[in-house]
Amino acid sequence: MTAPALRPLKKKTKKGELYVRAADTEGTLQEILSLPDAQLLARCTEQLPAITGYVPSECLVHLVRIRHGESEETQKRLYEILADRIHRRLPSRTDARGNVSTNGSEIADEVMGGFIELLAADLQAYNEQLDFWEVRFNRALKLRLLDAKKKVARQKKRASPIEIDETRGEMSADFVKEIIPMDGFGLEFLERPDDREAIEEAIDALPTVQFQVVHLVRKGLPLYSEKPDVWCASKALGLSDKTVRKHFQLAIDTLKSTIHGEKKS
Amino acid sequence: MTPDPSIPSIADVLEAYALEAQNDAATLARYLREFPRYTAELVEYSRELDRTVDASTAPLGAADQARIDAGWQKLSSAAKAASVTPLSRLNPAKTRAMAQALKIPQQVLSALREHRVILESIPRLFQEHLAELLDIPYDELHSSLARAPNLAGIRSYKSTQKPIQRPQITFEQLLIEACVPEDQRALLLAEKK
Repeated sequence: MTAPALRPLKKKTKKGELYVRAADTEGTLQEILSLPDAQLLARCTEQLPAITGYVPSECLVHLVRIRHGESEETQKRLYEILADRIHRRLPSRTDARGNVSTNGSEIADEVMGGFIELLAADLQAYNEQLDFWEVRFNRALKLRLLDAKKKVARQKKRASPIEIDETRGEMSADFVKEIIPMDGFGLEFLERPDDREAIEEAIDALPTVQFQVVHLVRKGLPLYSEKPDVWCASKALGLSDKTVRKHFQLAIDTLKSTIHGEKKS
Repeated sequence: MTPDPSIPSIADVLEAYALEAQNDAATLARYLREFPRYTAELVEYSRELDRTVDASTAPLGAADQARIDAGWQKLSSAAKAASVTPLSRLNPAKTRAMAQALKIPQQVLSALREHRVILESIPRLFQEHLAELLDIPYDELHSSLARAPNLAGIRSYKSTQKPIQRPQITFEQLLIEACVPEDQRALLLAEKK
């Protein structure tokens, strides 16, 4: 039996190359498109990616886009499975006591609202923006989530917490009394799995420049390098050696203080 | 102010970053070097990508379910609006007359109405001729043909059996299946010179 023809994606990269679905996505689609509705839904309901036969979310986006299913009920169910998966990847909508978190709910409204807009537009005319979701679902969702977080934060006009110094300018040499060593960044305490939630929250709460320095160093970029071909945190952020080190030290002090209640040095 | 087209937008850059195989130090450094104006956004996004997601399997709350239901309502309305196309507006007499004018069986028009034909396989000349007969601009017809197939609710009311969703086929394949003679097929498949 010949496999059903898949509708090709239309979006192109800036280099003019067509977006291409992952081989796993294409293979699974070829496999499930000809299944009867009941079997298809049973396959798609599985939530755990580690299970054999798991249908990647990229496939669900495709099925919802083409309104696959012999009945409207199947189409609705496929949409619900996709929407359910999206919700499970969003920040919690309840706090530790089970109360509704306004922030989490507003972010979920933003993410889902935007995604529904894309799907609705796609029904009118092919919407290339959804091709990204068929290629990299989780990354597309995280990008939308980031936008939603920013929008909600802007709407709340929330002041950045423990904002020590937002300047991107240089610090004076007098201010930089203490230079941290270049070897051994002392970041090991950020990688402890038992404290992960508290650590992530503390990093998110850092002032912008400190947040950026910590993330870049955590990713593996050097804090500073004199070699022109080595891209380091200092060059990326347009800060001098001393300033980037000072921001880094302030961030470490704040994180240790927040996570372990240690006094800042 | 009109944006400079030679400068990629932040959306383009972040999407290109997302399509990279890895979100590692080397990739991030490359993008930071290439797009220094988007440093803050790239760092934020890279951080978001690194964030671990613990997808819970517990049932969603009532507010989440309500949000999902509202989304479906919106999509259903959009689908209903989209299903009204220039071809779906034709009554049986006009459909018959149009099929005769185009020298094609009516099932070809039905397949086009149900978006069962791969758009790229329909010759521009045929689309222009069809648009002319429908008295609508070519672009309007083209975008209506580009919509996703939606069998549910289109033909089901005419039959006691559920509509069967078939994979999209090429225009040529459709003509062959509709038993259009070879010489007529050649005319219908002709492209603009």
